[in-house]
Order: sequence, then structure tokens, then C-alpha cells
Amino acid sequence: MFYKMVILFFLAGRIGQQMGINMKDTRLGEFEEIILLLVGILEERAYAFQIAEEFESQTGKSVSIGATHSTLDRLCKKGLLTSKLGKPTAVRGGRRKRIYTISASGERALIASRDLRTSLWNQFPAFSKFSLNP
Amino acid sequence: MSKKNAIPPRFANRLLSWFIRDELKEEVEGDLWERFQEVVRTKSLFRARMDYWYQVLNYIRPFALGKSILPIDFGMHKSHIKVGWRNLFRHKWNSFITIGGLSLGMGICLVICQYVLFEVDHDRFHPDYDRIYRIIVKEVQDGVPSGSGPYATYKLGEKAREVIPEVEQYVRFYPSEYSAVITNPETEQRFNEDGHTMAFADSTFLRMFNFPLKRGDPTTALNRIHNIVITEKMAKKYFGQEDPMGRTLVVKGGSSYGSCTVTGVLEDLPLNNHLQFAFLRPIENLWKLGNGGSVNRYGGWAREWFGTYLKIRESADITIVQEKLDQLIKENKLKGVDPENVVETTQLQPIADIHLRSGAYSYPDYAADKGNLSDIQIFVIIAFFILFIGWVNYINLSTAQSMGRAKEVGVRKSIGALKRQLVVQFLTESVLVNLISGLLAIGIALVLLPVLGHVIGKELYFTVLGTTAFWYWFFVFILGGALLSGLYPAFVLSSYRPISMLGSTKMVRAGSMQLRKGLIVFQFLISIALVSGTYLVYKQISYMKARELGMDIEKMLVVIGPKFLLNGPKVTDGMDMVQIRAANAYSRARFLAFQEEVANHHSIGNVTGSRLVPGQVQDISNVYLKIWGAPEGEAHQFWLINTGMHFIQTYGLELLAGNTFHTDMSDENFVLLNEEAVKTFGFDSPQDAVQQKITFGEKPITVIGVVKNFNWESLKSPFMPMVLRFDGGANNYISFRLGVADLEASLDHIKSVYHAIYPENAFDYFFLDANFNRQYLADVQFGTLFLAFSILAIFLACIGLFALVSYSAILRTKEIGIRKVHGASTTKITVLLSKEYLYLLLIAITVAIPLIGYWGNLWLENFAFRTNLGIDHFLFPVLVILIIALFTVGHKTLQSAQSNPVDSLKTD
Repeated sequence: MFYKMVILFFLAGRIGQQMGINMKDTRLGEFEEIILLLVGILEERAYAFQIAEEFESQTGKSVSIGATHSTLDRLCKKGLLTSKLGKPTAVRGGRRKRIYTISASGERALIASRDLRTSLWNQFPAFSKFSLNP
Repeated sequence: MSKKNAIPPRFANRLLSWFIRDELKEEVEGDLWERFQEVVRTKSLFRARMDYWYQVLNYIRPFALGKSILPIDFGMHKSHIKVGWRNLFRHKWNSFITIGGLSLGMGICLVICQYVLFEVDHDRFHPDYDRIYRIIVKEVQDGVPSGSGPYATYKLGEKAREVIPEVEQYVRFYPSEYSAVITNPETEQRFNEDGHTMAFADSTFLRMFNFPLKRGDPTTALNRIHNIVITEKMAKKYFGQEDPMGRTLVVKGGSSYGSCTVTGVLEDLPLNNHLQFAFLRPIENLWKLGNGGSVNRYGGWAREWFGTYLKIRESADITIVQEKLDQLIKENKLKGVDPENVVETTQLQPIADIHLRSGAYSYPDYAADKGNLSDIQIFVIIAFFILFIGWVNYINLSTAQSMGRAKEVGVRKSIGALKRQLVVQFLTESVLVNLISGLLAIGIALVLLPVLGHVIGKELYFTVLGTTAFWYWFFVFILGGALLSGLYPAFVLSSYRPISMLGSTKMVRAGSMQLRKGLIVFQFLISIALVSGTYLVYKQISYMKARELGMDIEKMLVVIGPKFLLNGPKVTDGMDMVQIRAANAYSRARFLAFQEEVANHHSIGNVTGSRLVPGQVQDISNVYLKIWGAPEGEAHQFWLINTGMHFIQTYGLELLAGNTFHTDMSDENFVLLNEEAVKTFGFDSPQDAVQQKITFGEKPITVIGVVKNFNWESLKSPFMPMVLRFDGGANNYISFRLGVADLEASLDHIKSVYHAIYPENAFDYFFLDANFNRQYLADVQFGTLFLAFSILAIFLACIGLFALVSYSAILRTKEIGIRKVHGASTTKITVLLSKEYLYLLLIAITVAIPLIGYWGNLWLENFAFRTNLGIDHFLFPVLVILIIALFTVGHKTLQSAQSNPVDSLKTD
């Protein structure tokens, strides 16, 4: 009974966060984009804990493993990531880890996202003189 | 635990593996484990543990939860909550009334719960309080119980610790009998301190009981004879902002004279504690330096007044310990000093029982505010009644609204909703309403608690909010209440036949009107009873305040007598008559001088001294007296009060026979009786009693007069047989009958004479009428609470009535329309609609009358002098309720009666 109430309490918040997300939309949110890029950077080491650590060290912002994992899970469902279970290691108390890799549509989504930004940057006259775009 | 093999918190792990989806378990545990090791390595074990909890809680996300965790059909619940929420907002006024009523009821209930908890929670803050007992000594004289009290001999506890292995520790506690003046010699500030606040105790006191010291060391604070421990409040009073440790206080008067060194400052004592004191000195001080010298003389086994607390070992059997204590008392009985025909036995009273279950033997000096179990029970009952009324209102209002919901239910049913699903839907709404009310109730309670505290004169804090048990019960209550109040409307609403709700006739009757009418009758019954109760309490109080007392206490100034006499003879043994006589003679001479001097001023009417003044009963002497020469068995109990020369004149007592005291009388050999005492002795008339002799101790004393009965105590108590003994030196309280002259001048004069005759004493005074009426404080508080409850009950009952009227007015819209078309007047329709509620009220009134009569008389029996339960006790509440109810009903019915019949008839 008590456990259930704790869970319900936390869920109420989470559901609110997720309400706006349409599963079929493949456009990326900022957090999603960064996570996707980190998966690409980390290659063989791309599993939830490592991604969260990398996120913290690269952005300087803290994030919980749960939040990262939840985003990874969502990206998988959208088909932007694939995953497989890796080998057990001693550091993890003999447990296996789930390694994520970017799928073809994941790469497409990243490129689309980058193109959109570049195009927007190019249309911004104040910044064009710095020639940010080689 | 070393950092290397640190493991994450077990409980967090259990929580995680309980809710996480099975497929994710391994990888998530692995990730969290790695994270944990990382934080242990870079930060600390503690930080790692906190972080682990944070990570686990952060996994409570929809994607990660196992199927079994999610409540079945969560999406449906979501829809129910949404619909319920919208429904609340659609009927704002109705929701406001429901939630307002319910949260008010719950708030009151919460406040009362907190108060009850405070009362029940007395003396439970000591470590191992369940093993601490107070010794109660019961006396049996010639086979007849002759009294009991929490008083033991000096040695009993000490010896018990030595010879009874079950006794782990003992503490003696002795509140001083006499008041004293305490001086800070550096500032020359002096104050009168009441005897009850000046206690003596064993040095183990601060270890057995949990009275934390703000300054000083509990193990040594009481180990020297001149030490004194004071409360923080006293430290402020005598030393201000300065550091009191090691400073000197001089105690003059009371049970022990002398200067003391402050060796400890106690945090102010908690209020839920029966040991109330402000000064604490080692118990040795009492019998080595003070008037407890009889401990020396009789080896500590003379019958005296030491409250004794024992800490008993865990496995011990209390009855066996009691038997061993009885044996100890028997073995140490003093031959020739203690009466042979008295047998003393002991009872060990758990310390947590003292406040509420002490009954007769809880003397005021031991439990400054004795709790009243029956008052608390009454409050709990009223609290639940009010909560119940709140729930009844919810039932009434939500069924009344059902007309509006009929279409919704019809549509739901015809597209395939099951009855069960509809019940769940309405229960969800009920939970929603109860939950909102519950949260509001906490806010209301936070506001009301200080108000209640103010009324009952105690500081109350909302301590329950911090306990997990409270929250557990809070949710249990909310959910239970939601079920209780939601079930009926849920079943009624879900059992409609869809065709009747969607068709054009709409002749729906929601459930049985009988039940709701019954509930309304019940609500009004409670309201009438409460209003009547309030009226009765107030009437009784004003009756008591207005009644002639048989004496005149108005414009009576009472000055607290001197606590000690500079250079006077001292008493070192409270049982040594020679010492006491010498001290008394000196005191008498000083007092006569004072009276002579003080009366020498035009503003002073009469002056007299006495040991007590009217209104004071806790220190009164109860004595057994008989007529001189009568056989042993004919002694009766009397109140004995020592009074000075002009007592009768000053207090305006009416003399029925004989004379008052006069100057050529010797002290202590002459008495005045009241009528009640004349009756108790068995004299035929007041005239007969005059000049008779009464046995007092070994010698005869003479009755010189009889006064008319007067109310020494509050009018709650009957006249007691009283013996006023002449004692020209009695100066504990000095009463002045003031003339019309200005008060300032009289006070200045009295004060200057007082300081001249009694140097180094503090000057304190009070007015007797205010002091006397303070005896009714508890009754006034009781009345105020009753008033608040009855207003609340009426308010809630009217809400319920309003809902019912609205409901039936809607049902009869068409009927009203047709009647109007046929020429019925507005008045006629209003009367027609209101009639059935009048009938409900009549039932409530009929049932209420015998109840009021029964309970009213039962309550009045607490008072010896009481007002009559007249016809007004029935008329007044009935009128009040009738007017309020008619207003409520009339408002709505008039509205319906005035409606245009075209509107109600054209719709179909």
C-alpha cells in the first residue's frame, strides 16, 4: 500500500513530463540530440551509466541515470537507436550492460537536426560575418 | 566499513528490485553499482549512499516500471480523475460547500486528536518511562480504608533499592510546603515563590528523568548540599541576560533557609509533565538544614511526604515488588509513634498513568494540572460526530447533484459501461474530494490549534505532523472516509436504468429519500443538543457568579503574608512543638504590631489575617473532631481554618448565635462553627452549640459562636462543616476591606507599613473576587468549546438541509409549474415545499428533548448549587435551530415558488 503511494506520487510528475511527447515524431529534443551524439562518441562504451557520466563531464550539468535511461529507451522505441546486451564485468558485480548503437534512421535524424540549425545560422545576418560556416 | 567493499543501501535496493521491470533489472543494477563505486571512490561513503537513493528514486518512471506495480487500468483512473476534477469545477458553489464542510470537520477532528494526544502523552518523554513507577501508600484503619496518597517515608525508596533486587533506581521528590522569598543578593531583587515550585530531590533525579540541563552537568549538579538547579525562566527572572552559573540565590522562609549556588539551568519543563517545579535542591538540604529534621530524629521512617519514584528492572513482577515494599513498611513501623491500628500497603503506579488516571490521590501539588479523562472522551466523541456530519453532507450533496449527472451515467451505460466501472468512477471522485478536504484540513488545523490552546490555556504544538504513524492513519482515514461517504452515492448513481435518464420523462428518484431524511434528523438532533448544552453551561456559570456567597469578597484586597522574620527563631524540625511554639509567638507579636500600624489610616476598613482565604481548598486541613467527652467512634470530619481577630467582620459573615473573637481570648482555644458543623456535631440549634466544648487533640476548646453557612469554595461544592479557629497570629494571607478612598493611597500605605515591619520580604497582593472567580475558569473554557462546536454543527447541518431542499425542489419543478398555472400563490407553494422539512425538524426536536433533559441533569449534578433545567433550555435551542433552518429552507423554496411556470413547463 505504502510503496504503491510512493510510486503513484512520483509517477504523477513523470507522466506530466511525458504528456507532450508524440511517439511518431522523429524530430529531436535538445537532450535527445546530445544523448544520441554521446552514443555515437562512446561507441563500444555507450551504456546508460557511461553516457550519464559523459553527459555530466561534457555539459557540466548533472543528470540521473534513470533520466538518461528513460531517454535511451524512448529513442529505441522511435527506432533511432538499437541495443544489445554486452558481457558481464567485475566492476558491475558480474552484471551485463546494454550497449546502444545509432541506427540508420538515428543518423538521418541527427543530420536533419544539424542541417536545420546550419540553415538557421546562415540566415542570421549578425553572425554571418564571423563565417561560422566554412 | 572500508571503502573497498562498500555496498549500496539494502533498502533502496529492495525498493528498486520491487518496482523495476524484470528485463531491465540486470542492466540497471549494474549501472547503479558502477555509479555507486565511482562516488565512493571520488567522494564519500555517505554521499554515495545518498546518491544511490537519488538514482533509485529517479528510476520511478513509466518506462521502467514492472506490470504488477501499475494499478490496474491506470488510463481509466486517469480519465476518472479528469472527469471528477471537471465536475468539481463545473459546480463550484456545491464543491465549495462540500469541501468546505468536510475539511472543517476534518480540521476540528485533527485539532482534537492533537489535543488528546497531548493529554495522553504525559510523562512519556523519560527514558524507560514504562519502567518508572510512583509509590502510592494506602492506609487502612481498623479494616476501613482511610485514604491514600503518593507519599512515602524518607527511607522507603532508599531501603527498597538496597534490599529489593528488582528495584534498579529510586528518586525522592519533595515539593516544599511553605512559600518563601528568594533574593538575588547582587541586585537586591526579591520575589515571593510558591512552595509548590520549590522542590527537593535526590541527586539521581536528573538522571532518571529526562529534564535536560542547558547549563551544568547532570551528574554533579545536585551533589552538594548548597547547590540549586533552576529553570531557564527563573534564570531570566533573577539574573536577566547574565550567566547564572556559580551565582548565589538566598532563600528565606519555606522549608529550608540559606544561600545556594546555582549549578545548573534546566530547559523550561515540558508541559506534558506532572513534575512541575522551578527550583530544585538536594534532598539532604531539607533535613540537614531545613525543617525536615524529623528525618534525623526518627531515622527517616516517620510518616512524611516524600514522593518516591522507582525504576523497576525489565523482567520484574510488579505485584511481587509491591508485596516486598509492604513488608519493608511493616518491618520499619515506629513503635509508639505510628498508630497501631493503621495498616499501610503500597501500589506502584506507572508514571504514564499519573496525569489521567490518578483520581482521588492526585493532589494538586503533585500534578499541577490533573487531566480529566471524561472530558477527553466527550471531546473525542464530539470530534467524530462532527467528522461524521461532514461525511453525511457529502453523501447528501452528491446524491442531490445526481440529477445533473443522470445524463452522463445514461450515456456511459448505453455505450457499455458496467455498473462496477461506474462505482469505481464515483468512488474515485469521492477519494478526490476527501483528499482535497484532508489537505485543507491540515491548514485549518494549523490555524485552529493556537486558538484552542488559547481557550484551554495551554500551549499546543502540531507535533503529530512529524510522525509517520500520523500520515499512515491520515491516509487510512481519508480512504476509509472516501469509501464510506462515496459508496452510497456511487451505488445510487450507477443503478439508474439508462432509459429513464435519457428519455423525455426524467422521473428519477435517486435512492431512498428516507435515508437522507434520517441523516438530516440526526444532524439537527446533534445541533439542538449542542446548542442546549452551550446555553446550559453559560447559564450555570452566570448563576454561580451572581449568587450570594454568604460573605462579601468585593473590594477585598489580599496581601500575601511574610515568608520569614528577620532575627526570628528558626524551626529545624517540623515535628518539634517547642521550636514551633517559639516561632509562632514571635510571629504573632510582629503581626499584631503590623495590624495596629496599618489600621491607622483612614482608607482601611477592616484588617484580618488567616491561614487561607476563600477559594483556596487544596491546602485546607481536614480534621476529625468530636464533642468533649463523647466516645472515640463519634468523630466526624471537618475543615479547620485558622482565622484572625476580625475575620467575621472583614468578610461580612452573619453571626447566628454567640459572639465573635475578642481581644481577651487566648489563641487556639476558641472556635466558631458554621451551620453545617452544628448539624454534623449533632447540636439541636446554633444557640445550643454556643459554649459547648470540643475535643481537639487532648484538650477541650470552646465554641463561642455560630455563623451562617457561606461558600468558602466555588459553588460546585456543597457547604462543608467548618471550624474557624481563633489564631491571632495567622498571617499567611492578610485581608483588607477597602473603603471608597483611592486605591493607590491605600496600597502605598499598606506597602510602607509591610516593609517596615517585615524587612526583606516581597510585597505581593491580589483582589479576592477575581481570584475566587478563577475557580470557574475550566467551566468557562468548557462553555467556549461547546459554543464553537455548536456553531459548527449548525453550519454543517444547514448545508445538508440546503442540499436536500435544492434536490427536491428540482425534482418538483414541473409540479410547481402546474400548480402555479392553476393559480397557486407563491406563499402557498413555499409553505407546501417547506412543510416536509418542518416535519423533519419536529422529529429531531421530539427526540432531542428527553436527551437534553437527561444529559443536562447529569451534567448539573457536578454542581452543588445549580440552576434549574427550565423550559427555556428546550425553547431556546429549538427556536435558534428553527429560525436558522427555516431561513435555509425558505430561501430555496421561495426561489422555486417564484420561478416562472413557463420556463419549467415548456422544456418538454
